Amino acid sequence: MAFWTRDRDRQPDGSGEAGRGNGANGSARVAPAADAMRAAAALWEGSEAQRRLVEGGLTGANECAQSLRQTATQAESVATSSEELASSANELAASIEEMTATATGLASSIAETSSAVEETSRSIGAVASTAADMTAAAATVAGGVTEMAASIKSVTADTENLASSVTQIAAAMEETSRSIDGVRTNSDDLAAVAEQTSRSIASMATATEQVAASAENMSGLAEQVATAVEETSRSVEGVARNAEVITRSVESAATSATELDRSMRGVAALAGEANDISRRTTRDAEEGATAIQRSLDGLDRIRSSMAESASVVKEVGKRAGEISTIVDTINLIAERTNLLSLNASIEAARAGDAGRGFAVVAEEIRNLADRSAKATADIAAIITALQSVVQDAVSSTAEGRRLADDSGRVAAEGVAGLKRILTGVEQSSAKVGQITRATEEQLAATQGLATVITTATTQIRQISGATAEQAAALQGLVRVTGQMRGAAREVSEAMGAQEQSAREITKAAQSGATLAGQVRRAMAEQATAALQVSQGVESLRRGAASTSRALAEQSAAADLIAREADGFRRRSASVSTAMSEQATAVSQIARATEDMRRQSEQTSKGLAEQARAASDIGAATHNVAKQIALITRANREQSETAGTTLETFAELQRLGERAAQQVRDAGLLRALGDRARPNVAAPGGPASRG
Amino acid sequence: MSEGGFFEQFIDEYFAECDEHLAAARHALLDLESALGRPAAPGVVQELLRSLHTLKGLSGMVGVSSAERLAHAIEESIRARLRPGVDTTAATMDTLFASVDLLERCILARRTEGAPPDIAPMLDRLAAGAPGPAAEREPAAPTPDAAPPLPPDADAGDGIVQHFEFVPTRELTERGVGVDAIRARLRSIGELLDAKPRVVAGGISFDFWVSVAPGKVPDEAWRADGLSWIALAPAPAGEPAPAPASQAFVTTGANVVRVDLGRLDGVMRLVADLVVSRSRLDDLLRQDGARSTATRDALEENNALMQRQLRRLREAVMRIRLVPVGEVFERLRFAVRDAARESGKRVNLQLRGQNTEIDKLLVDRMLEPLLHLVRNAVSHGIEHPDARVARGKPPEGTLTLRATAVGDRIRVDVEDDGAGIDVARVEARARARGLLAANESLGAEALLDVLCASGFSTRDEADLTSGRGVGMDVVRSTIRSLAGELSLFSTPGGGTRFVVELPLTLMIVDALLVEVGGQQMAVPQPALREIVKVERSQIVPFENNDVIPWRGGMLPLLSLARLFQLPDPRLPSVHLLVVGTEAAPMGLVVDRLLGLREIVVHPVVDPLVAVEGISGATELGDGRVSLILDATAIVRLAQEERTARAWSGASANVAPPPRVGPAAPPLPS
Amino acid sequence: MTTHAAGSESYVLFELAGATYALRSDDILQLEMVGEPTPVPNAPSWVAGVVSVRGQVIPAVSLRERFGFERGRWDLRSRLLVVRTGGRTVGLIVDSARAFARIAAEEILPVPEGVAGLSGRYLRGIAQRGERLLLVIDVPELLITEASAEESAAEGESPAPASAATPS
Repeated sequence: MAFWTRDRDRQPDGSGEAGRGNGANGSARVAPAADAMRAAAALWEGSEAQRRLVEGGLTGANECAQSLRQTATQAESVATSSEELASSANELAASIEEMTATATGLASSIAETSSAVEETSRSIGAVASTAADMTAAAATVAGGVTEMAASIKSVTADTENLASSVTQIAAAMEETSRSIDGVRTNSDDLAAVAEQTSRSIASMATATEQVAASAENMSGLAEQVATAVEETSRSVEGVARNAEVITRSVESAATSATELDRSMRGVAALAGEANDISRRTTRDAEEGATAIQRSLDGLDRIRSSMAESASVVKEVGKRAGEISTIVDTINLIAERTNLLSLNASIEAARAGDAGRGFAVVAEEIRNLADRSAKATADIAAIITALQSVVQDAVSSTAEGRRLADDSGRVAAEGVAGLKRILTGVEQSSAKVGQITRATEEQLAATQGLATVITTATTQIRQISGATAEQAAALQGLVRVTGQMRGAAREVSEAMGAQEQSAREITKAAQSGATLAGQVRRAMAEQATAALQVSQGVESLRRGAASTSRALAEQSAAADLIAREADGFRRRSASVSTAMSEQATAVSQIARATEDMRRQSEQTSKGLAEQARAASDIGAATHNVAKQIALITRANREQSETAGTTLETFAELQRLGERAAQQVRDAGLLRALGDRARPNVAAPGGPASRG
Repeated sequence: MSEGGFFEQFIDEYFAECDEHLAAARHALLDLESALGRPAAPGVVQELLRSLHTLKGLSGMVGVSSAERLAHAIEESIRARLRPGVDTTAATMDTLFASVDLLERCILARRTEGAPPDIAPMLDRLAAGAPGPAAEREPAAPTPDAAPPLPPDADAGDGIVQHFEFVPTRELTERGVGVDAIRARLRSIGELLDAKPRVVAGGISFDFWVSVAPGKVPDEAWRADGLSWIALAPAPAGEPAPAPASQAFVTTGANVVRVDLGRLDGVMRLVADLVVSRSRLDDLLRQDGARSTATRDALEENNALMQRQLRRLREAVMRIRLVPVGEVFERLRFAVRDAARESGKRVNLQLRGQNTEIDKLLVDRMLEPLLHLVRNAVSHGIEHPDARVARGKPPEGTLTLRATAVGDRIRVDVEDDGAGIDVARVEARARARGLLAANESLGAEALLDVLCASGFSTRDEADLTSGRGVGMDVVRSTIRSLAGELSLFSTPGGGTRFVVELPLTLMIVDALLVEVGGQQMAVPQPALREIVKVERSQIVPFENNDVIPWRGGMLPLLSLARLFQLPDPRLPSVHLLVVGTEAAPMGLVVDRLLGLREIVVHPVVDPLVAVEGISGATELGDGRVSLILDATAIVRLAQEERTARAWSGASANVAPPPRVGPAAPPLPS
Repeated sequence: MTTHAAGSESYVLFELAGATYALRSDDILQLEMVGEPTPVPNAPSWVAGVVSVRGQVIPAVSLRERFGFERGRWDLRSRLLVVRTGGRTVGLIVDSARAFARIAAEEILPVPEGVAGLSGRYLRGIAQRGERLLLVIDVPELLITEASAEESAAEGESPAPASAATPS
C-alpha cells in the first residue's frame, strides 16, 4: 500500500512532466502534443483512478479470497462436523434403535413385571389382611408402572413438541436459507460489483482476459460454492432441525430415561420394599408359627400335665371313693356289730343270769361299734369334703383341658393359616423376586439407555456445536459475502468512476483522436522509438517491476529521484528527439489504450460472463454443497485463482504503474523537452490544464 | 301235655338208675334167701322196698307203666309177705325173684323199644300169694312168731309209734322187772297204744306199741331188762332236744331211719337255698356276656348239670318227705266209725291207693278238710239203712276214699253212694238269699260255689240236714291255701263225689316270673294253660270287661295291675297268662315275662299281708321277696266279682261283691 | 350302767321320728337291717310289704306310718325289729335301734290321761332316763289290737268290708 501511495504521491509529478513533455514534444504538433499531453494527463488520471479501483477490487478480492478461505475452512469444519454429525446421527440412530430395543425389552419386561405384579397382587390378595402391606406395595408398584407409562406418554408428547420445535427450526432455517439467498444475491451484487470491477478491469488491457478467465473460473467455482453452501445450508438446516429434534427428543428421552430410571428405581425400591415386607412377613409368619408352635408345645405340655393331674386327681378321687367304700364297709360293719351286739344282748337277756357276762361283752362290743361308727362318720365327712374338692378339681381340670384342647385347636388352625400365609408370602416373594430381577434388568437397560442417551446427547451437543460453528461460519460467510458485496459495491463504484474515467478517457481519446492521429503518426514515427520505448518501458517496467519492491524500499530514494528529476528533465529537454520517440510511444500508448478499450469491452463482456458465472455460482454452490469436499478443493483452487487474480491485479498494477511510469516518463520526456525548449517545457503544466 | 314226654329226656338216667336199683333189689333178695325160714331182716326188706319204690317212681315218671305197675305189685306183695317176724318161704322168694326178673324185662323192653312183656300172670301170682289188707286180716289166727299188727283203732296221736318186745325171764322177775314194770317204763316215754302177749318158741313174749312222746327216747339201759326195740334216729346224749316234731314215719324196718320233719324241713330249706343260689348263678351267667366262650360254655354246661342234679336232689329230698296217704286214711277210719255210730248208719269204708305218697306237710294239712268231707258224707250223704233199702240200695252204705297220683299232683276222691245233693233245695236257698236269679239253675260248679259261699251252710245248719255244706267254705279255703282245688260231682239219688286235687309238694315249684306294674311276681307253672302275646289294640272292651277273640270265642281278660291297684304302664303289647279251667279260661294281663324259674315257696300267712290272689312269696336269691300269684284264686275272685256285678244288677239289696283284701286267716296250726 | 335290779326287764331302745321308744327284749326275736320290702297289693297302707327273715317271709310294718308319721327313708341305721307274739312274727321298721337297757317296773310311769286313742292302746307307760323320755311300747298289744284297729279304722270309712278277718 505504501508502495502504491508512494507511487501515487510521486506519480503526479512524473505524469505531469510526461504530459508536459508530451505536449512539448510536438511543436508542430505542439497543440496535438498538448492535447495529447492533456489526454495523457487525463489518461494518467484515469489510470490512476483505475489503479485505485483495481486496488480496491484487489483488496475486495483479497478479502473475498480470505473469506473464501475462511468459508472453506468453515466448510471444512462444517464438513467435519457434518461427518461427525452423520456418524453421531448414525450412532444416535443406533442408540435410538438400541434405545428402542431397550425400550421394547423394557416394555416386555414391564409387561412381565406387570403380570408378575398382578400375580403377586393375586397371591397377596389371598393372603388378605395379614399381607395388606404387600398389597399396598404392589399397588404402589402399579402406580409406579402407571407413572412410567405416563412418562412414556410424556416422552411422546415431548417428541411432538420437539417436532413442532423442529418445524420452528425449519422456519428459522428457511430464513437462514433466505439470508443465504441474500448472500447469493449479495454474491450477485458481488457479481455485479465484479462486473463493474471487471468492467473497470476491462479497461485494463491484457490482464483483463486473464482476470475474466479467472473470474469465470471463479464464477463457476463460486457457483459450486454457492450450491454447496446452499446444500450445506439445507443440510445444515436439516441437520440443525434434526439435531434440534434429536436434541429435544434425546433430551426428552434423557428426561424420560431419567424419569424411567427414577421410576425404575422407585419400582426397584418398591420391589425391594415389597421383598422386605415379604421377608418381614415371612419372618413374622415364621416367628408367629414358631411362637404358635411353642405355644402348641406349651399347650401339649399343659394338656399332658393336665391329663396327668386329672388322672392324679381322678386317682385321688378313686382312692377317696375306695376309702369311702371302705368307710361305708366299716360303717356297715359297725352297724352290723351294733346289731349283733343288740341281738346278743337280747339273747343274753333271754338267758337270764347265765347271759349276764355275755351281756357285758355285748355292751362293750356295742360301745366299740358305736365309737367306730362315729369315727367312720367323721372319716366319711372328710372324704365327702375331699371328694367334692376332687370333683371340683376334676371338673376344673376337665375345663382347663377342654380350654387347652380348644386353644390347641385354635393354635393349630393358626399354624395352618400361617402356613397358608407363608405359602402365599413365599409365592409373593417369588413374584417380588421376579419383579426385582425384572426391575434390575430394566434398570440395567435404562442405564444402558441413559448411557446411549448420554452418548447421543454428547453427539447432539457436538452436532449442535458443529451446527453452531456452521452457523457461525455461515454468519462469517454472510459477513464475508457482505464484505464481498461492499467490495463489489466499491468495485462497482470504482467501475462507475472507471466508466467516468473511461468516458473521460474516451473523451480524451476522442479529443485526442486527432491528436492521436497525429500522435499516431508521431507514434508511427516514433514507433521504433516507441517500440524501443516500449521495450525500454518494458525493460523499465521490468526494471520498475524489479525495482518496484526496491521502490518501496527506496521510497525515500524516490524523492531523490524526483529531485533528480529536474536534472533529468533538463537533460530530457536536451533530448528533443527522444520526443518523437515519445510521440510514437504516445501513439503506441494510444493504441494500447485502444487495445485497452477493446480489452475493457472484452472485460465487460468477460465480467458479464463473470457475472453470469457468478450467478451460476449460486447454482454451482448446490453442487458444491453436495460435494462438500469439493468446496475445500474449489476454495483452494479459488484461493489459488484469487492469488492469480491478485497476481494479475498486481500485474495490472504494475502495468498501470508502468503506464504511469510511461506517462511520467512521457511527462519527464516532455519536461526534458520543455527544458530544452523551455516553452515547451513551460506549457507542460498548461497541457494538463488544457 | 305229656309229663312222660317231659321226662323222656331223662330216659338214659332212668336206665342207669334202674340198673342200680335192680341190682340192689337182687342183692336184697339174695340176702333174704340166705335167711330162708326165718323172719326177714327188716333192714333188708326196707332196702328191697326202697329199691322197688324208686323203680316204681322212676318208671312212672318216664311212662313205663308196666314196670311201674309190676314194681308196685311187688312192693305190695313184699309188704304183705315179709312182715316183721314172718318167716320167709321158698315160694315167696321164688315169686319175688321171678317178679324182679320180669321187672327188668319190662324196663329192657322200653330200652329196646320192644313190646313190653305180659305182666298180668305175675300180678295175679303176686296178689294171690299176698295176704289181704291188714285191716281185714287182722283177726286171723295169730301166728306164734308174727308180731301183731297195730290195732286198727290205735291212734298214734302226735307221737311216733314204736314197737317194743319184752321177753320175761325168771331172773328178770326176781329183779322185779315184770310186764307191769315194763308197761310203766314205756308209759314214761309215751302213750301205750297196745300190748299183746305172744307165744314164742320156749316161752312167751309181749309186744308193746307205744306212741313215743316227742323228745322222749327209751332208755338204753332197758335193753338189759329183756326189752328190745329198734332204734330210731340216733339221738346223741346231750344234744338239745329237737324242736317240737310233728310226726315221723311209721316204720318198722331195721334200716329205716325215723327222721324228724323239722330236720327234713331244714334239708329242704338248704336245697331250696341251693336252688335259689343256682338261679342266681343262672342270672349271673346270663348277664356276663364278656367271658370267653369256652369258659362260658363250660360254666353253662356245669350249671345245667348242676340244675339236673339239684332237681334230682330236690326230688330225692322231696321223696323223703313223701309219706303214704294211707296214714291219713287210717285216721279217717275212726272218724267214719264215730260218725256212723252217731248217726246210726252203716258205712263200709273202702280205702284205695293208700300207698300213694304225698308231702308230709300236705298230709297233715289235708286231714282237716278230708275229715269234714268224710263226716259230711256219712252224716248227710249216706242214707239211713231203711231208707237205703227203700231205695233199693244195700243197707250198708259205701264210702270210698281213693288216692291217685296224677303227675305231680295227687287226687283224693271222697265218694259215697248216698242220696246226692238236692240241687233244687240248694237253688231255693240260694234264691232266698239272693245268690241266684229266679230263672237260673245251678251247674255243678255254681252249685259248689253256692255251697261254699261264706256262711251259706253255717247259718242255716238246722235246715240242711238233707243238704251238704257244713263248713264247706272252710274246706275249700283250706284246700286252696294248699294250692289245691275242690270239685263236686253229684248224682241225685246216686251219690256224691268230692274231688280234692293237691300238689305233691308245696316247697319248690316251677314258676313263670312276670312283671306287673313294675313289680315282679311269680306264677306257678302248673296253673298256666297258655301264654299269649297280644297287642293292646287287639283288646276289646266288652261290658265292663276286656276280652280278646281267642280260639273262636272270647277270652275274658283280667288286668293284674288293676286288680292289685298297681300303676299300669300301658305298654303297646302285653302278655296274657291263660289260666282257669278249659271251660272257663281267663287271660291275666301282665306287662312282660321275665322267665321260668324254680322258686321256693314261702307261705304268707300273717293277716297283715294275707291277700287273696297271692298264695305266698319267694326269695329269688337277691334278698328281695317276690309274691306268688294264686292263679286259681284270681280267676275265682274275678268270677265272683263278675257274678257279684251280675247280682248287683239283679237285686239292689245284695251284699257288695267280695273284694280283694286280707283273706281269712289260716286255720290255727 | 345296767342295774340288774330285781323286777327289772331288759328293753331295746329305738328311735322313731325323734322320740325314743322302749320295747321289751323278750318280745324281740332279733334285729335286722332293713332291706327292700316287697309291697303287697291291697294290704294296709302302713304295711311296707313282706321281707324275708331267716327263711321266713313276714310282713314289715312301717311303724312311722303306723304311728301316723311319714314313711321316711330307710338307711343303714334303719332297723327291722322282728317281734314274735301270739304265734305271729312281724317286722317293725324303726329309724334306728342302737341301745339296750334295763328298766325297772317301778320306773315305768302310767300313761297320762291325755294320751288316748290309737297310740294310747299300745303305750304301756313312760320312763325317764336322764333327759330322755322313753315311751314303753307293748308289743303284743300293738299287734293284737291290729285287727280291731283295722276294723275301727275301717268302720269309719267303709260300711261293710266283706273280709272275715276274724280268726276262727
